Amino acid sequence: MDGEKINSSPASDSFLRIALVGQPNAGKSTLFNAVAGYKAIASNFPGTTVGFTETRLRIKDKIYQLIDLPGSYSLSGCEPAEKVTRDYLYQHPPDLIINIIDASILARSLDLTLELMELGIPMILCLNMMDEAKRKGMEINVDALSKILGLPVVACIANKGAGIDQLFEQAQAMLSKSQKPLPIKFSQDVEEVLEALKQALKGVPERIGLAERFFLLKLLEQDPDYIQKLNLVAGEKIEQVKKFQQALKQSHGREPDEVICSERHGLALSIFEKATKIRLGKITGFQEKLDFWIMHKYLGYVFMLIILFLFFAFVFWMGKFLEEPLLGWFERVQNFLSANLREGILSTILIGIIQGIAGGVGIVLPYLLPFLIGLSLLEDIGYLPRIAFLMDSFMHKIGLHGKATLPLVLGYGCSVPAVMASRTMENPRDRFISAILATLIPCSARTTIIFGLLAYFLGPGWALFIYLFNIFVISVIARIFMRFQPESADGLIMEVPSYKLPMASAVLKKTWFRLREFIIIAFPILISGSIVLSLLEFFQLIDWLNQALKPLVVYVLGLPEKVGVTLIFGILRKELTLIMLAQALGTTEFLSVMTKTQVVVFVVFVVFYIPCLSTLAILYKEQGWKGVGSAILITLFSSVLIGFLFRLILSAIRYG
Amino acid sequence: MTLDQVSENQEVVVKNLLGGFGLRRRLHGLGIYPGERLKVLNSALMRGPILLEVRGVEVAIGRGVAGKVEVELWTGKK
Repeated sequence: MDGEKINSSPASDSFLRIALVGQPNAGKSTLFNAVAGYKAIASNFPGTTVGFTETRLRIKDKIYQLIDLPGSYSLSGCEPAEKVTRDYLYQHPPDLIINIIDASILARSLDLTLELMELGIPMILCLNMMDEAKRKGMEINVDALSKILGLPVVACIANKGAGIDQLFEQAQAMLSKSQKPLPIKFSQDVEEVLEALKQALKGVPERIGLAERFFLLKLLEQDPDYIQKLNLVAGEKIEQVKKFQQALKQSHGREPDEVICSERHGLALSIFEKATKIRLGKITGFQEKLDFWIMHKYLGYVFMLIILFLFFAFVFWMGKFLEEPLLGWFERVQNFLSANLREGILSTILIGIIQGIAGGVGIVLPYLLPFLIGLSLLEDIGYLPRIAFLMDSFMHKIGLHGKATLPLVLGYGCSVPAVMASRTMENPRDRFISAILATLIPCSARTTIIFGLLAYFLGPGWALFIYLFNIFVISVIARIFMRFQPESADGLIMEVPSYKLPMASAVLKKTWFRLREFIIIAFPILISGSIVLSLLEFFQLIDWLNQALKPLVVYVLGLPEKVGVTLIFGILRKELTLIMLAQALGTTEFLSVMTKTQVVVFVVFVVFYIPCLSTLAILYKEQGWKGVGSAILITLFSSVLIGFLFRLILSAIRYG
Repeated sequence: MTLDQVSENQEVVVKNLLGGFGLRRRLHGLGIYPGERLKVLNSALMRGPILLEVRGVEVAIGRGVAGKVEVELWTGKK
């Protein structure tokens, strides 16, 4: 059995399809990656996989299509990830479902299993993390579970590779039998209502193309999406459905959806009790003690600051360590070329390309690489949801909730992964706002400007001030968003996964996966931007550009005219702003040609203005033109305003 | 009382979920049902979220959400 690398395309009807479905953090992506090379990001942060990933899988000379669907607690489609899973299962019913479960939380996980069985698709159950279950003091009787559910059950430990071969052998056996699961029956009175509804809607589920029991239950659960489907095909039946919902509500004294879910939950619990001999299943004392401190009211924040400080110290130290030799090497290549090539348009383009690669490899990668390694570590250990917990009340003050902390913290590394991380938010408003705010956080490229210019020439106090001031401005902008789009009612509801020992191979692979995603998006833009700038220089258009930007640069911000072009550079390649500034001014002793006020205004402006092209590209992918447009407007407006204010205030107090 | 009024280390039993369809379904997803026993582990500063143990899993829920979960103190009998 092995996985074959192919381009993911959803249309591949010729192979039998196997879908991996499970709750968040059950280990779907780990299992998927174990057989597919490395394509999906497994994470210790709930809701990381929002799209689905596919691969081809060979089991004993037969090829199958394997689909990794986003983690879902249920098929209700309340969160974006759950909607993807539910719609996939409904629109392209796979030939087999592998329901993967974290065995250490079996009781809760069986709810989804029972719901999946209603779909009437052949299914097998994979009990993952059996070692963790044992650690929690549980003993699960796999045969008993299989008997009660009427499904094959395979125990495995996906991150150690144990049980995976048996799982896929079992999957193959099941595919050849193609045996549909028999639904587990609810209590008599609910089944009676269900039967009556079935008679009333005879033929309707077939017309919609949905499994009958699944559809009827969703109607009873008052699921708005399915009510709408019914309305399209047989709107006249809606009244009857309402009657049955009413009947359930009256006989149970609860909302009908709660009646159905409680039925499922009750069944899940009784199955759990029958199938486990010892069922302590409590969180370990170790985790409880650790979380007492890590998520403590006061000390939790102290630990958070220490951890984040160590994290950023590691990034800067590693970045510096890697940056110098790389830049030196690129400089030698460039010097060699400009000495040996005749001046002309081709050599200009060539040097543009090399400068572009040098900027990407020599300046961005040295910081991005340790950043992504550190992030993967924090993520796999399980620390990120704990930050979200600690920051929730602060985030509410700016109209978001705890989960929005992740994109904002990531923003300090690079805006591109930060914007991507906004995917984990449940509703579109929060996704949009956290993506926009993330671009305002000074990324590592802007950090080099803050440190290289401001801290170096005017002292580290200024750098600290800029970071705090930046947080202040972001809060103000977030509060303005709140006026236009009131805070959504969804508060934080988040599973806090248990701590896990990070595995070196998983951390490195994940780092590589993200790095590759960044390189694919950003490098073409970096390089073409660099070529454009070399050409501008070659055709001596720089002066013309400076003239065009003069009103903003000179009249509003009070900066030297020559600085104008570096701002254009900043959009294309933010990390090169500092180098460009030196080139434009002809010196690195900036204080000899700029006043202290001008240095501050320049840095403040660069920190806030338009995000780099790579960020705009990913913003377009996540939020469309609306996201790109809003980001440009907001950043341009705030940077001009703030730059101007700083100029006014600093000249008023005669800062120098 | 509601879950946001429960102090740390207390165990409670859920009586009722007061929110709408979406909120209920999300709480169900994490195993929070009427009749289920919960333990409040930590609660964050400034009306921040609370950390619960639900059947061996840690779950964080915002204070606003917790205000929609009706509970009573667990007295020890099954």
